[in-house]
Amino acid sequence: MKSILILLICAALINSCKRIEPSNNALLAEKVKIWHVVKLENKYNPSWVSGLDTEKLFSQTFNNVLSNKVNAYIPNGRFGDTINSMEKIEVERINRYMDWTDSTIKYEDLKEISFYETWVLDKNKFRFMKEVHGWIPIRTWFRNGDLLKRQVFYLYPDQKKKGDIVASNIIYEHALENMYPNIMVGFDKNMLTSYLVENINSGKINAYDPIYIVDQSKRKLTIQQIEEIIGEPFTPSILAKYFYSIIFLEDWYFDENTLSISKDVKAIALVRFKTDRFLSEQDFKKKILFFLFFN
Amino acid sequence: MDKKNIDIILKVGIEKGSDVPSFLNWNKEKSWNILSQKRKKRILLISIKYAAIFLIGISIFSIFYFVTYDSHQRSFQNDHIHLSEYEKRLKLLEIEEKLSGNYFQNIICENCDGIIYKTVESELQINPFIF
Repeated sequence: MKSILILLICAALINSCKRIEPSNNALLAEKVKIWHVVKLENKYNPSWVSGLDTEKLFSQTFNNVLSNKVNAYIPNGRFGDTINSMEKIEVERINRYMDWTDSTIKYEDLKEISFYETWVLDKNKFRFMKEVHGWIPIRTWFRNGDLLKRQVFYLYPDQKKKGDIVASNIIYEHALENMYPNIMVGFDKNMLTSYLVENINSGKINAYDPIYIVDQSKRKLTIQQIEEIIGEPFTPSILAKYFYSIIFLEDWYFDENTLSISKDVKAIALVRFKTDRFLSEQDFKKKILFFLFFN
Repeated sequence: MDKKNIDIILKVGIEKGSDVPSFLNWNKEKSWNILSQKRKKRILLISIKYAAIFLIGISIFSIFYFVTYDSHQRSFQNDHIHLSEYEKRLKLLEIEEKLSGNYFQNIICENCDGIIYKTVESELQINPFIF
């Protein structure tokens, strides 16, 4: 009995001393959990979002939710990884939130989607993966000259299925700065920039000219050209200092039965935004630094 | 040589199992000249008819292709491909200027039953934990 006990203690000690494998995620040590809003309208660059079939996405979603085939939840309060504490939303409330007073169902007001996702940038395969856990259609409308927005319901699909393509080559910008720290949990900007600078310098990763966003031409950049675009040496600290947002180029897939959305990240672009005081007007502008394409 | 003679030659050739080269050796120009004006006209009309059908078909296909084929892809590849390098760089500057930002905005949770945000700027930052 005593020897068994000693063996168990030894086993526990060995287990606790087991080396923790370093994360393969270039964004941080563990998981990155993100809440972010994607605007489905872009008045300056309409082609960025024109590949999204909003009619298909919303009509099938609302059909399933209103007919109680899929559970949707009240979009208030703390929601995240668990749906146990969430309350199912009633049809009447959805109609009220959408201001559907008659039988006419319109989806024009749904101009944004809020996503709750996990992000991984795989260092070995150089792939940016997003897992969409939940999403919320957002109604946007004007009243007395004020712009109002309302989250309609929260969808947290139990099963994840890829489904059919619902958006091809959708482009949007995601700002890394946010007044709410719990929007981006675990994102390590310094880790990401260090990884990128190291691998671009060593030639393992290719950076491409931001002109891609204009003509879709892929032109590899040399380190000298990157530095010309940045206007400063290409170092992790300088990149991290002004790295303000990421532009994503993605395909979205939608499964009409589970209402799950999957995103296939095809490319990202890093955007610089100098917010220092005493900068010239030219510097106080956003600049797309380079594109990175994933396998 | 009239139409009747040509037909007889063809018929005999087919019956004898005449090989292809003998048909190819035909003096086409001579045969064409021999054909009556009426037949020439008919052949021309048929040729024009088929050419017209072909052209109409191509046109319909092109319209269908350009209207329906991945309009987004086209719009993204867009009209900028033919621009000069200078014009492309100007376009890039324009895009960069119009990138949305999340700075300088006020958000008010006007009615937390369903969370209504009232924004001064057109941007929304959602705090899912607002209360």
